[in-house]
Amino acid sequence: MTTGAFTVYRSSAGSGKTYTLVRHYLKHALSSEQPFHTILAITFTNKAASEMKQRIIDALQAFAGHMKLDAANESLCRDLCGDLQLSEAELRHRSAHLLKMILHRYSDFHVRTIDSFLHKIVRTFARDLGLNVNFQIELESDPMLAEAVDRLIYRAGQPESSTLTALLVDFVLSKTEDEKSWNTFDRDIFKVAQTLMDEDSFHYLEKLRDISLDAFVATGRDLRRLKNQSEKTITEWAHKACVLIAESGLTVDHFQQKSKGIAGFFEKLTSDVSVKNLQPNSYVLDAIYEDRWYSANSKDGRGRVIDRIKPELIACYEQIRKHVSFYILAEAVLQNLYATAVLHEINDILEALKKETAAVLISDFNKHIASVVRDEPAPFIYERVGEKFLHYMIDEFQDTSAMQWLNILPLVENALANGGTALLVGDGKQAIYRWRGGDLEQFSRLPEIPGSEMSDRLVETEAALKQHYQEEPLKYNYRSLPEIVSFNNRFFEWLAHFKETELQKIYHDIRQLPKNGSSGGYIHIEFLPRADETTIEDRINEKLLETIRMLEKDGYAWKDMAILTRNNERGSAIARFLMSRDIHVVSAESLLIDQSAEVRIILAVMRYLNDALDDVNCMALMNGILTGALGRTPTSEDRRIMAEAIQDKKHDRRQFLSWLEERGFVLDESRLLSQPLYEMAEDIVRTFLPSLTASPFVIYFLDSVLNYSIKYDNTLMNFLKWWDIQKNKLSIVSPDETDAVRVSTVHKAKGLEFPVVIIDETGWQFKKTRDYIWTELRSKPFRTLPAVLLKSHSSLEETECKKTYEEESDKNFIDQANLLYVAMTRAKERLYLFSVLTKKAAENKITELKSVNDVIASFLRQSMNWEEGKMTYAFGDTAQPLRNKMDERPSVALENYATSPQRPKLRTKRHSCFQPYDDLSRREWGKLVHAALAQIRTLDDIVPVLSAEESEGWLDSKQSRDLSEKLLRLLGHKMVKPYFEPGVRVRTEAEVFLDSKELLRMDRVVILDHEIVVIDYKTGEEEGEEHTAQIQRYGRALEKLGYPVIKKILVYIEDEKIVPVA
Amino acid sequence: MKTFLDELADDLITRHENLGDLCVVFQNRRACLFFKLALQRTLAQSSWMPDVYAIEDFNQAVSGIHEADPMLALFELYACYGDAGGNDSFELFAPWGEMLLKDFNDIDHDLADAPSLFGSLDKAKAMERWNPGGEDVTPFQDQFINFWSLLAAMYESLQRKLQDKHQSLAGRIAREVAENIDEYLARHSWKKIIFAGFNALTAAEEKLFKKLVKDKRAEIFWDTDEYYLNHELQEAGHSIRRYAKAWIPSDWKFRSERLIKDSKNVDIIGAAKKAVQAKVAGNIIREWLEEGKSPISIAVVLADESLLLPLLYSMPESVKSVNISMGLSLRSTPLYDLIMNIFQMHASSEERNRSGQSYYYLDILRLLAHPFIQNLFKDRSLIRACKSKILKENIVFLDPDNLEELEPIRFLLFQWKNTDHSISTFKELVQKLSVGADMSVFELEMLTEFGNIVNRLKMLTSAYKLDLGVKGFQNLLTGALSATRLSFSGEPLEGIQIMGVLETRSLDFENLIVVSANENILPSAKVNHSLIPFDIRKGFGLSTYLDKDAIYAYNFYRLLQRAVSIRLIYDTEPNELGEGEQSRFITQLLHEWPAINPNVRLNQRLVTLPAESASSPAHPRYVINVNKDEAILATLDRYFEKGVSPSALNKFITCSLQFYFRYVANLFPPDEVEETIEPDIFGNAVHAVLAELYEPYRGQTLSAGAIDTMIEKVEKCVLKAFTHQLHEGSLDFGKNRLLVDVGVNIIKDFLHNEKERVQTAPVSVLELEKTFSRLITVSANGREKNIHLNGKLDRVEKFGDLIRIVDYKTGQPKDNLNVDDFKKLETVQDQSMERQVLFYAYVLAGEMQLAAMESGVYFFREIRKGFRPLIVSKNTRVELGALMEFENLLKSVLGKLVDPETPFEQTADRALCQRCDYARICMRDQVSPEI
Ligand code: SF4
Repeated sequence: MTTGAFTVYRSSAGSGKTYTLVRHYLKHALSSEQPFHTILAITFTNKAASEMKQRIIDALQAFAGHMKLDAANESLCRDLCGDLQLSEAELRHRSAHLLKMILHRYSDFHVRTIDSFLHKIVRTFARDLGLNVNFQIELESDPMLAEAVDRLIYRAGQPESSTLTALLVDFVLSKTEDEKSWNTFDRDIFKVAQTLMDEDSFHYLEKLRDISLDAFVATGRDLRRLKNQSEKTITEWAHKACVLIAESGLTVDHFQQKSKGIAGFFEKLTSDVSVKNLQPNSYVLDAIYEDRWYSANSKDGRGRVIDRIKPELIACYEQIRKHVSFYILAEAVLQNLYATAVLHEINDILEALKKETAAVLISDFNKHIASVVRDEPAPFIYERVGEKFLHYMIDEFQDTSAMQWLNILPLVENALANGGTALLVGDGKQAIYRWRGGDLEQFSRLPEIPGSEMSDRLVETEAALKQHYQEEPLKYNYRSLPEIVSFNNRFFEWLAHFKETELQKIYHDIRQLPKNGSSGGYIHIEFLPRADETTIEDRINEKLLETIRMLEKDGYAWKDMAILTRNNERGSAIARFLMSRDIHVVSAESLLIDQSAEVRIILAVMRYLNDALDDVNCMALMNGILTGALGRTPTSEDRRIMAEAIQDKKHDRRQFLSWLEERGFVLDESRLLSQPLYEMAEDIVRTFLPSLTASPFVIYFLDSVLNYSIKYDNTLMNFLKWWDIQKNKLSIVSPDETDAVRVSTVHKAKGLEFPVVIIDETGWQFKKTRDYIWTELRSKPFRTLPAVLLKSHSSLEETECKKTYEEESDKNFIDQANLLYVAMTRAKERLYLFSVLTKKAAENKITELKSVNDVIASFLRQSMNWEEGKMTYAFGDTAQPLRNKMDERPSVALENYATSPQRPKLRTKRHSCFQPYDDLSRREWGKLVHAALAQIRTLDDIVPVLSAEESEGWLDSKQSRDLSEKLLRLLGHKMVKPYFEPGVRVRTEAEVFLDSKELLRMDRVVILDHEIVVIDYKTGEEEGEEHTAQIQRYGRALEKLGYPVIKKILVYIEDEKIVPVA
Repeated sequence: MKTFLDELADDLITRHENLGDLCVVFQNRRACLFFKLALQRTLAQSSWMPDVYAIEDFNQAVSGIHEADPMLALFELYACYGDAGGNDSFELFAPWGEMLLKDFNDIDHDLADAPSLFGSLDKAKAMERWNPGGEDVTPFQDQFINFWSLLAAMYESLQRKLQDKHQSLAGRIAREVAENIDEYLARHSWKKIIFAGFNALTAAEEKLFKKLVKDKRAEIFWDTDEYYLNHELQEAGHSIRRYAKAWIPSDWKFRSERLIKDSKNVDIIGAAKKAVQAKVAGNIIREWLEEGKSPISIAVVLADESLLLPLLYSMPESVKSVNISMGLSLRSTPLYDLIMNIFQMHASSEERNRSGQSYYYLDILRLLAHPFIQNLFKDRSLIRACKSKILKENIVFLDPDNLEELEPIRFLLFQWKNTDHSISTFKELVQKLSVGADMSVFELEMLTEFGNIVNRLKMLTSAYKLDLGVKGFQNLLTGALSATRLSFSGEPLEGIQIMGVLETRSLDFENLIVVSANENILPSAKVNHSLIPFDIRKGFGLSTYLDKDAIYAYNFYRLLQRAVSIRLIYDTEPNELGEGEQSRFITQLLHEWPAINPNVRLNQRLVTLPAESASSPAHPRYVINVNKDEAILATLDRYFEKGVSPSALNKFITCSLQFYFRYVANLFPPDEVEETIEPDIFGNAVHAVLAELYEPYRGQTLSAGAIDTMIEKVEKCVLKAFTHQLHEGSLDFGKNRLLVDVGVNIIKDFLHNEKERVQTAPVSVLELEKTFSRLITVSANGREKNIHLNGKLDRVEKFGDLIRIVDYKTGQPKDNLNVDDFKKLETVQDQSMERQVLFYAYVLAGEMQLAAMESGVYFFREIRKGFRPLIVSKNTRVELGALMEFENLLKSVLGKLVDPETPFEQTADRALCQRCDYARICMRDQVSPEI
């Protein structure tokens, strides 16, 4: 491995990228010059970091031991010996040492996720950035954003926000004009406000900062006026055309394509000017530009009439066209104008909210760093952070956002300048996170830095990167069998050349070699006959079932199979279907905690506790108990009784509660409500699901409750609200070895591999991955706005932002191709694709790739052995499954567990029972005084001890003053004063152990040369007998210890009395 | 098994005549308690007990200096900060102030020279260090240097001011003791001081120990094992190796080789997430008890203390007592939530309703749901009364003066203008709650602590003349509550021990379970919780993460020394930042231990949970069918009497089960306060306004002038219509205010349209919001029923010569109302509007004997497009033929309802379920996990 200081690996699926990273890490760590703590490896996902750590340690362990190496480690060993010019013996020796170093300086073993690295920096500089140094990390921005939008809207009508009110009224009214729903404007604002989280917006938002709300209102009104004008003009011209047509004795039907054609175009515009109607379809264009106005076989002479009025119609068309661009843009701009206008306000509220809750959004890390820290010299950052790195390694670079890279770049540059290295690994073909800010171009253009021309510093950095730049390919595919590798090679090579875009650049390295010595692999493509939507889904379900059955016969287990779908909805339907056929399935939905019937019972009880009046919930609970807990199907009789139980509302739900009781479930409201959430949940489990064994759903529900109560509060109402928002995200952790078919979206499958992958392509459209695009408009009325946010829509092609839109759709195409790439490269042994032949594909009339189905069909048609009417294409052989030996850790099942009622008692401290402070009971007071006296060794201690008690809030200042005066008087009395002088040997709270196994604790014992004095403080009234007896016991105990002269004194604090006892 | 403390007790008893002459010092209080117990177990005759202290208590006792209360120190520090010229608000200051106090403590504990430490970073030095090219400091750096320059002065003045109050920070006390030990010891009578169980010492401790050992006034008992002492890289032995080289004799007593030689049984168990770990620990305990191990020999160490509750609830039933030696933070008690709810109520009252005199209903409901608050109501029915009043009257903002039921908590509901207001509210709250009869000891304990904190804060704020503001006060209070811990009762000599890592110091257990053995917990995360940069800390000898890691390592390995059965449970799921794999200690053990100690058995296991698809609502068992029994048929008969509405018909067609829930089981979705104008409210209001406006002209031919008059009245009518449904005052602000404007606008638009229309042809309104009815006879399976059909028509008018039925719709418009195929109309959900207007035509035709009419819809979102008539087979008029067909359809659909053999069933169209009120019963209320 000869590398420059700045190395980029462009990897592909299955090309051993972790191996490369591990090798690189070890190369630096084992070279003698640099200790390992100067290496920082950054990964993207949670699992990747721990996997990499594990691999490094395992490799070192293998080298350090004297055992024979397995194949992977042997090749790693060979590579490293080569890299470092070392003998194997020396390498093994160094490895042993390095392993010990890493294990015992583990905090310096820097393999981290990017979030954790950035977090560290933000945490370090929190105070400098004006953040609360104890800030909480908030992962979800949506709830806070929604709150911010709410607060903003609530300002409408407040006297100090008149402009805002005007703007919002305009907004809502513009929605009515748009014929859109008007009471969802808050959701519209929310949607647009989500762009605040999007780092691409940053730049545009800055531009908008100085535009006042008034200016927005004015622009909005202007645009609406102009739009209405142009609408009117369009209608007029359309009307003119229609009149002309009618006066010539023609109707729409006389024109080519009738109402779909040019005449229909005019006709529609007379009644309804809309973006949809303004976009000419191909028939309209045919008429205008190809002179196809009527069908050639029109014999009745109408053609001639049409020919006569054609020029005038074209003129009308041209007149309308003049307004189209403006109209579309005005419409598009207005759609988001008002929401855009309040973005800064929302942002301000959001910031205030974060301050209030001392929260920092995880998505803010980059902004905070970018705002100041990035421009600081590296030594400063290193010093403050307390770590210093010389070697950087970044994994999954294609998913890195521009801001993330720019934030790390100064440190990387510093490393390069100081003899360090940087290594980036990425795969442009697997970039599927553009919508989360992943910047593909940044990767594909390396070592260039996009936007470097904007700053001198970046130009320098770029030069440095270029100077050290070196690119390394990773040629082999270690995952898939050769047939699959070569099919994917051909398929994506073909796809890359379908479009002249960045795609080609990204896919130029698509060609992979299969792993040496491997053979086999199978690809199966099948087109299902066309049918209407509902039945195609059923048909694919059956097909999947059939395939699974066949795979079982071939020797595959369920867990070897994965079904990949484009979206979760489809995945859910498939999973439901397979489950109904008794096939075990693990899918995103099947793992949701909320999908468990038991959890529904717990939740229903909680909801009941929160709102007993909710009839539907009561019914759900009863239904759940019958079907779930009692496991039977409710009869009509059951239904009737349940309905009646609910109807009885007068008596506190008595009938409902006794319904439960009759079935053995006692819902004790007051007991449940008095417990913290977690205990409440455990209690409900115990009461309502007593026979439950280890249900993963219930246990992870409890876990969610626990985490909620740790992070937020114990308020039931809040928890239930939180649950409703979170329930679609909270899943159980399923052990990987469960034998079940995985049903997953492609996104979720990234980074995974399966022996068999089945892709359902039937509904897979090339959809938009981004809803909005920012752009700057130059034409007249729009110029007043420095930036606008437009909904990405094909109509924009008719306007001046054609280019922006096309760029966006090119990027979108790449997203889709990449998604497909990820999907098709998951398979190790077999790959099944189920597809439909769209009408166009069947007729070979594809000009544009609109769905994966089209792509597959076109590919087969153009590059493979397409046969008309043939529906199934297979490549390679269906061999037996390969079984790799697995070195899994043994697992034990948690079959059942206890939920026992262990409510611990609390120990009472100084006060056993609370009393208001200004009315301390004597008992309290006594304890307090005793505690203070234990700390008093000499008279001089009295004031400081009591002032400390005071500042801790046990005494107010008057009490403290009174008590200290009293003690000074009392203990200064000549009878006891000598025992409070400095220099006497004193033990307070002195303990004596008696051979009767008792322990006595005496308030104060003073040991003088010839005598010993025991003092007992009393805060109550003098009680004679009892007190005397007690101190006499002390005396006897001391006698036992061998003291000859013993003095016993009772000191009554309240009465200021000193009583010597004989 | 003999523990360290047992061995120590033995040793001291044999070697010392009078234990009363001894002072025994441990690192922690828990060890003190256990040591005394060990002594008592060992002692055979009467004896003085020695004084036993934890080191911090020792320092205070020996010096007589009080450790400053942290809150007081923070206030004092803030004053110093102000004096030095700092200007952060207290709210912003408090978190870093706490950090700075810790730094000050560290400086003293490690005997660093504060002036030179804080002097080490001026501008010149900063440039040298940070800007290698010799550039000037950046503004950002400058900001930091300026801040830094305040610290030296703050350090000095804080120490001085605390001294004036006879107090010091713990570090300062330690330093005092170390530097003047002779003088202090002279005041005490101990003959010997025993330091036991220490490991890494602070510089102050080291100085103290060294000196006393040299003077033969102290003995030190280390508890170590050769396993980690022997190897240079083992961090657990780091400090002691160093002391052994420098100043301690190498033959100390407890140098064991247990980790090297003893046989031990170690299971390393991976489990996903907290609750599972707790349950696994519970199962291990059960096994152990079944094997006959005594409860007292078992300890569970919770590296993450938040697992306490789950662990307690995972104990097998056979466990009778546990001894918990960690506190329960007030943060996790119901009291805390109550306090937060009260704060939130005041905050949202401020935020939403500037006057601060009325309160947001959700906040009030939340409060009323709290068990403590419920205790304040002698008459619980008042609570229910409040609740239903709020719901019924749609009160969004509630003025407590108007709701006398709230009297028992009236004292919570007045505007907080400053800290004092909130303090007195809380004092009153504590007072009222504490006299309540329903409080348990546990709850009284919470109240005591809370009252104490409030009092303390009151005294401090008045002493320092700080108005923190309500928010600042809240922060301070939350901080104090989180820091306050309630201790559990328990018998140290009985039951299973549950403790945090730090409590285990110097203790030993034969059977040990460690839970949450993960990085970032064991050891805790490598965060720089300090304002002093790492290099400076290091340069001045302050402790760093390396020291912290080493201490954790020692605590961990020491625990293993005498243990025999060891279970280390870790969480297999990384945290949100992708951190927190299994603890490094586990990795160390796995890679190193077996090679050194052949008698140790290390087993690794993963815990799995059985996956059970049967419990999923998607399971066939959860399908709901309701067969029609006699009772249901009877209900249906009554229902037929009352009449079927178009929406009921639509419900029945789209999901017959939904129909069952609504019309047979009579289940209604819950009453909720409508905070904002929801679509139905909006719709109702529009209907009401139009009815009111047209009513005076019913039966007349409308003139343009009449419509002008209506337009003038719109605003008033709209307001009236909304106020009818929403509580007063909620229309002035926010979304509602905007929607009122919209209502006014669209109705005006509508009327303007009307004005144009009445000029094209004569329009006269015949009926407004009137219900028409028609009887239909349906039979199925031998049952024949007469069914009433009821349709409430928004408006019937005569337009030109034709009768027209008008329905107003404020919801989603539909492009065309089209019926081509009556078969489709029978099933397709999409055609519900068509069914509705046909239904209207059908009932009206029955009443008025019409042969043809128009029936259609005004979509208020598309007023420009005007009235949209139903088109039946291209005909905009509904004529007899169509009505006949519709009648057939009705008979066929309603036939299924009449048919006793056709059950009510769930719909196949799950999209419908997403908007269905009963989805929770069907368990079909969501299907979209996020990516
Ligand atoms: S949830 Fe679905 S199936 Fe159940 S009643 Fe509602 S619409 Fe029908």
